Amino acid sequence: MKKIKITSYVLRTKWAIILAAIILLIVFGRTVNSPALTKTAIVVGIGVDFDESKREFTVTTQSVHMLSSAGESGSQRYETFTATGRTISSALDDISQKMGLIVSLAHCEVLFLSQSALKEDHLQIIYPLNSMYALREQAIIVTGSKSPRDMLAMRVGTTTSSPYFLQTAIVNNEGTDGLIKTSAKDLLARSLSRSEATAIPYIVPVEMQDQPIDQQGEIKDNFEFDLSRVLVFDHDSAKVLEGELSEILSIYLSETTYGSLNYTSEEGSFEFRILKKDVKTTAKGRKVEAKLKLSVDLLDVQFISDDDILSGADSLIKKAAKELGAELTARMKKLHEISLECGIDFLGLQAKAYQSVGRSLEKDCLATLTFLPEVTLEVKEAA
Amino acid sequence: MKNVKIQRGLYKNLPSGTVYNSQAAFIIFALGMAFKLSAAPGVISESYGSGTLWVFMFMAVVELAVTAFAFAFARMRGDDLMRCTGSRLYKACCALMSVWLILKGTFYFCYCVSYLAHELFGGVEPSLLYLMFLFPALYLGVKGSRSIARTCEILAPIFMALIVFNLIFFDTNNDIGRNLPVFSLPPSEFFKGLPRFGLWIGDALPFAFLRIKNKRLPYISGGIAITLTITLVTVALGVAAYGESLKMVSDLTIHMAGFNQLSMEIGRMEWTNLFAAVSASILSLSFIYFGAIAACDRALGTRLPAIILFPLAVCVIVAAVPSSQSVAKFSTEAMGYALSALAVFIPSSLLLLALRRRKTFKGLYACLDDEYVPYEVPYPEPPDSIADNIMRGYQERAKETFKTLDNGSLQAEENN
Repeated sequence: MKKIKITSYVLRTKWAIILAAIILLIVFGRTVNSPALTKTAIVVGIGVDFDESKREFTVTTQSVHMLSSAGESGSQRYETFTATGRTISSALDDISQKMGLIVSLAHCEVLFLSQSALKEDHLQIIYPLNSMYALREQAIIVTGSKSPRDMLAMRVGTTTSSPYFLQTAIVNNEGTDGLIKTSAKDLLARSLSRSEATAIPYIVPVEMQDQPIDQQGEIKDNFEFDLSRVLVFDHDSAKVLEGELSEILSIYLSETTYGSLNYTSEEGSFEFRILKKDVKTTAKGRKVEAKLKLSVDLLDVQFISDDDILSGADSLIKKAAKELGAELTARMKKLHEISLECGIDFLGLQAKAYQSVGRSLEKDCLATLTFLPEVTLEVKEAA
Repeated sequence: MKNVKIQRGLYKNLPSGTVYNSQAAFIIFALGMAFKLSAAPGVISESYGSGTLWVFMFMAVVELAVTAFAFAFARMRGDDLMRCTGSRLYKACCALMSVWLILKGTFYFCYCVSYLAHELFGGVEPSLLYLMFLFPALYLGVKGSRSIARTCEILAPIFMALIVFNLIFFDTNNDIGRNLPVFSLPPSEFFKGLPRFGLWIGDALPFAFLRIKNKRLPYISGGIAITLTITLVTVALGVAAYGESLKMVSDLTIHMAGFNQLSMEIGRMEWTNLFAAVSASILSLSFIYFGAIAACDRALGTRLPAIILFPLAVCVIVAAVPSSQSVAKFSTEAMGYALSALAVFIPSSLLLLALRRRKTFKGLYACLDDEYVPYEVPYPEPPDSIADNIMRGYQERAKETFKTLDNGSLQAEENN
């Protein structure tokens, strides 16, 4: 009779092992408390405010509830909850209790931070949200003239939910008229760099002049979000930039750029659409050079003396593009002046100089750095 | 068992303890992906910030040397030579290596559980993660090199495709210049801290106990080159994208997949690299476990102590230490220096010993061939002809012509 070795017998019967593992996992799965989707609140936007006098965080979440019954198409309801706590997590736990659901930020794309919250350690704000509540690093950071709670609760004309509106508006129009996209990852990368400063959209809500109407009549209290401003800040100070300055800053800092640029002179008013941008920032010692090359297409011309149909090949357009480039360069220089005035290195000059000079570069050396921007425009034809 | 010839002298079933060079290359890739690309960049970034890539480059040089030692030892049949000549020093080295690999495996185990528990399975019992890793890793490790090699051969190309796919479509705001300057710390501090990360050196050492059968192409050198390239490119991109905030990234490969530009169209893509990271971790843990068992076998003549010690160490840590993160952290403090020293000492000693033996036993070394089996079977069993059905028919005929005695033996009947 052949001697049976139990170990080798067990090893050969792989199916027995697989079966045992399956049984174990099935039994184990019944005894382990795993979070179900029906017990989870799908948060689409979160706001964090900080009360400096009480040292407390006020956290607001907006979650979406899908309402549907058999045979009917679903509709959604947005619910906003607010809670206060010594930490962001304790406030979120309170919200979880109020909702009776587990808070998950896995689908949250927008994080509102008040200016007081921005003065706190950014890593300590983002890290628990990211690691414990699954907030994506791609979530967009915004701030505004009102508190995060008010901003989240506002009804926006086209999409009702303000986080949804911001998510689509910023992603679709980044770089347009000063619209800048700064994700949670970018905020941390910049604020932990030598520059310790960054820029995020500064939203100003304005009540809609013409409220939308339905069959019952006018739907009141709808707002429009003005997204053309940018807040530049570090841990100590902040400044709101608007108009042409926020436009060139968003082109300089954004990953992708859409939108158009206007140039108005005595010869007419020219609108160029941005097709492509190429930003190269290099540092040689303490001298930082920024070269922005914009490929643009002629979009519209008004108030010209002739009734010609103009194209990018015409000298008038080339001249306008060159002059616009010079104007944009001047705006970049203006940004540098503002940066020096406020002591906020939102152009990231110290971070760039650090790459060249190395660890011997002293901290807070913004005033010792030279900035040489150059913007050029090339008129091309779009398909 | 019939050994099917596939092509050009390659067989489907290799002898135990032998792997093809292509399989070795895939194991190297799985090892690199599971250990070096997961939490290591984040852990190293905590100390080195933007200098993380340069730490990885220095580590790659050391790892390359250590791997070269291990493969040189394997290529020259160092294991067979040392075993047939019965070296005590070799046994001591193997005992040390077994302990080192058990330690390394335990730390890696906690490290894998730590980053996955921390990062991905919020709300899931950590014990479920322990089970998920422990059972398959133990099974494959005990089964041996062939099972690990075959599994890697199937899965590693998928891991590679997924990582390359996510790298191709990687799209986020980044600045490659964030990898500068080279020395974010003074050079003395920079080099003083490097050996703390010894946990990530010497993953390929178990290859010392394997025989490598060559296919046509230089798979091993290609595998090492591809693994190092992908590792360094990923770390460079990680620093470019995250800068100093890389320290908050628990698993770089999984986070990188989140920046796949296709995720705008088809949803979150983290699962692609999650699948690869979990599978590669299990395969790599099993390979380390296999190395510990093989080393124990060479040192003590039995595999059992290592088979028991590794799961025991894991279970003790699960029971005694409240957090796997604290174990992973412990491995990068003072223990890291010890792990580094052993990672360099063991393969270099093995190679030196084997070179010396080769010189001393030239004739014997020349006799070592593919069929050589250096170890004795501990409990030799005589062939059982009845069980093997070789004696079919003979037994019945024997009963007719022989009589069975009381002690069970047969005696020929006397012819009347």
